[in-house]
Amino acid sequence: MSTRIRAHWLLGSLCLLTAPALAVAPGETDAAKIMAAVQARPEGNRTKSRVLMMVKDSAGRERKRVVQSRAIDFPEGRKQMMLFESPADVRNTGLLSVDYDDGKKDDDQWLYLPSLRKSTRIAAGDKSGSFMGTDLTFADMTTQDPRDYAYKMLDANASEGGEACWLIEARPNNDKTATETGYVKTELCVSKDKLMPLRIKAWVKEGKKLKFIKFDDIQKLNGIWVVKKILAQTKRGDEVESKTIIAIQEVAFDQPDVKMEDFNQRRLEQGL
Amino acid sequence: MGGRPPALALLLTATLAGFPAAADSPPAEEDWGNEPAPPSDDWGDDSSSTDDTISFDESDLTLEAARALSLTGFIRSDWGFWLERFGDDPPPDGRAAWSKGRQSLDLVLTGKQDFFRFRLAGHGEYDLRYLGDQAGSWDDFDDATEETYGWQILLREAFGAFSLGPVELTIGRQIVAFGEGDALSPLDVVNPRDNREPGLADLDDIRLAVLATRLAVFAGNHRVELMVIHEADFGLRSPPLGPCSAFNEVIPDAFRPLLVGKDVRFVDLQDRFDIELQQPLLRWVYKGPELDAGVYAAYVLDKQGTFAFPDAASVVDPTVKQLSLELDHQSYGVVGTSGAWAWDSLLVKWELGAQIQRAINVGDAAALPPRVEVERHSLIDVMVGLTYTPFSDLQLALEFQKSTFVTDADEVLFPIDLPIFALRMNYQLLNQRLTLGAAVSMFGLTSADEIGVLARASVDYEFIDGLQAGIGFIHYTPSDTLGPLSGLSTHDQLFLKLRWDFTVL
Repeated sequence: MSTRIRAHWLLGSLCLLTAPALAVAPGETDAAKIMAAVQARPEGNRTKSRVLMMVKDSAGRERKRVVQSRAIDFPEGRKQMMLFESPADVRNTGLLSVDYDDGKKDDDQWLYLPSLRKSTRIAAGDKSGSFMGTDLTFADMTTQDPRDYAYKMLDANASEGGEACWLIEARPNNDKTATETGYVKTELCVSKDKLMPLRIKAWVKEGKKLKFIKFDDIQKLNGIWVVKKILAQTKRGDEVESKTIIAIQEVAFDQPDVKMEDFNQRRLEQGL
Repeated sequence: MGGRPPALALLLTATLAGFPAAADSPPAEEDWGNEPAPPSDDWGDDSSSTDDTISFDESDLTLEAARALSLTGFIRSDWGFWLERFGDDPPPDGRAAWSKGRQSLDLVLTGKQDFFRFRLAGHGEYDLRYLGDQAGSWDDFDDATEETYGWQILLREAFGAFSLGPVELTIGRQIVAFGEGDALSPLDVVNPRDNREPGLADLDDIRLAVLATRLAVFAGNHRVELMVIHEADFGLRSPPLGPCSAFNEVIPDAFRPLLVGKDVRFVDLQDRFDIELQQPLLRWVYKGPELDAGVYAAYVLDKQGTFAFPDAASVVDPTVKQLSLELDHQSYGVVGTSGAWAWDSLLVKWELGAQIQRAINVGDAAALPPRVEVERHSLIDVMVGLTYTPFSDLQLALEFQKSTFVTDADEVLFPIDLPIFALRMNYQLLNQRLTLGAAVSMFGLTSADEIGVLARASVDYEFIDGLQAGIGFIHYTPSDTLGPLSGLSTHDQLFLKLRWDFTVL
């Protein structure tokens, strides 16, 4: 059974956060046990989705990105491919990620820039950088090993939008994880009913910023909870620097045309 | 891609209008990240006051259906100004300090259906600076230069690709990048390049498509590819008397007065399409856990070529108005291996290759009469690159390349074995709206006479999706002896660009 953490919102949503596989009582106060249950839930496999990302800065200037995403599980972890559909200047830019369950093993990531006609391996340190100008980072799209975090229950009786949840702190317990993610710590509000995060607050080391993420429009499709909208914003002090809204559309899973042999350089370079 | 030191980047960030840099200081170091969690109604959701500053129109979240056919493009306007070119003898009204006024349009049509996909791309450009020269507004350049820089219509990639299981066949004009290096890549021998503006053109603009057939077989993380180039295209280059030609340095001083009024051009000896000039290439590439690796073999035409001076009678004869400088692009062998390995914030890249029996010029061009001959020699090429990401959105990359003659080579005319260092920095801010770039390339190491330096800095800003403006500066310090930057002694330039990317379909 997978032990991967889904604390990072984009991957969590794209991977179609699903119903819990491990039962945890609403009165549970052991944060690590709750997060293990969150992380151990079954995932939708062979998934496809089309994702709209809108970024707006404090001056109101708006940018839109549309991404087509595919993901598939393999024995050691999960592979994910994202291909940019728009705008025109980033069309066919692709990211192939191979995320390993074993946190000690560096994930593999390749970025294909069509202007260079070359897919380039990305070093792990790059993962704290912004992903295509959004409030998300490369690290947000990779899985994290729960052994790399120390969990702490902040509030066992919190609520979010009237929904009962646990407020849990996740703090990297090693420098490597802290550097890779760029986060000092994160706070997650985990739904007791859905056993999935409803909102996340992340302390960004660089610039001492705060990131806020809210999962919205959560729908149950074919028995699986699916997040259809994510709101992320970056704040410095009280000022909102930028905000990203992510609308996940055309979600489908167990797709026969999502095949293992397509998660390679060939598909990455072929583009859309 | 490039960058600037963080201090400058921060300064620029703070001075950008409209950007709320540190409007409220973050918490003190010791407190930051440790304050208690805010109550849920102060989190910043749709009901909080912080959201009043940025709001989305939810109707914009509707996506149009994805299309199988796509037509995109970009319009680009590039302007340049020589900063020191005419410093010793400035033109009367300053007009000749204008170096570039290039306007260009690129269009790309792509489509995919089942096992077939295609790409059709074209590029058209004209340069007001050179067209003005051609029209007689100025008289700074010869005819060959005006034609090369004045306007170009290029068919870029135009190929169809057929997939059948693990096999893919691609036929047509295509661009294929060999090797791992970015700025320096001795194995990247597939495509000719646009070398009209050394160091000035973006890396992604300089590869030119070439007619080829490519058969690839994919198995897991492995790819084996056989390619045959059918076209003897050696790229675009500055004409012999052009603004960026090293040939200006090769011409013996005694000959210069004789060239006034003559039309001097490079002429490639090889026909562009010759059935006997097929260039085979083979590569195996592995991109798997932790490591990328590749092995390459090729037998290609030398894109640089060797030259021979025109016969002296033509040079001294005032009635001969056109002089041809013949370039002979002989075939030679290339074998090599490349790799990339990531460790934490470091990415290590390497290439190790050999050029087998490559034809090169030897002799003494300054002698009277000039003595230039052709010999075949073999070289070993080494490239090592290191990319470091000290913190988010800042990339530092250093590449080093050195070629070494395996065979005895005396009086090599162009020092193709010089060590080369290429340092690049790239820093992105404001959610990648602002990009600060810097690049320094140094040719030569051991002798002061052979050292040449190229330095470039740029700032690019994206106003809205697809609309980008940039400003930059490039400096050349050519070596005292003949080198890669020869002929660029007074070419420091300020350049501006405006680019708009659009989608038609």
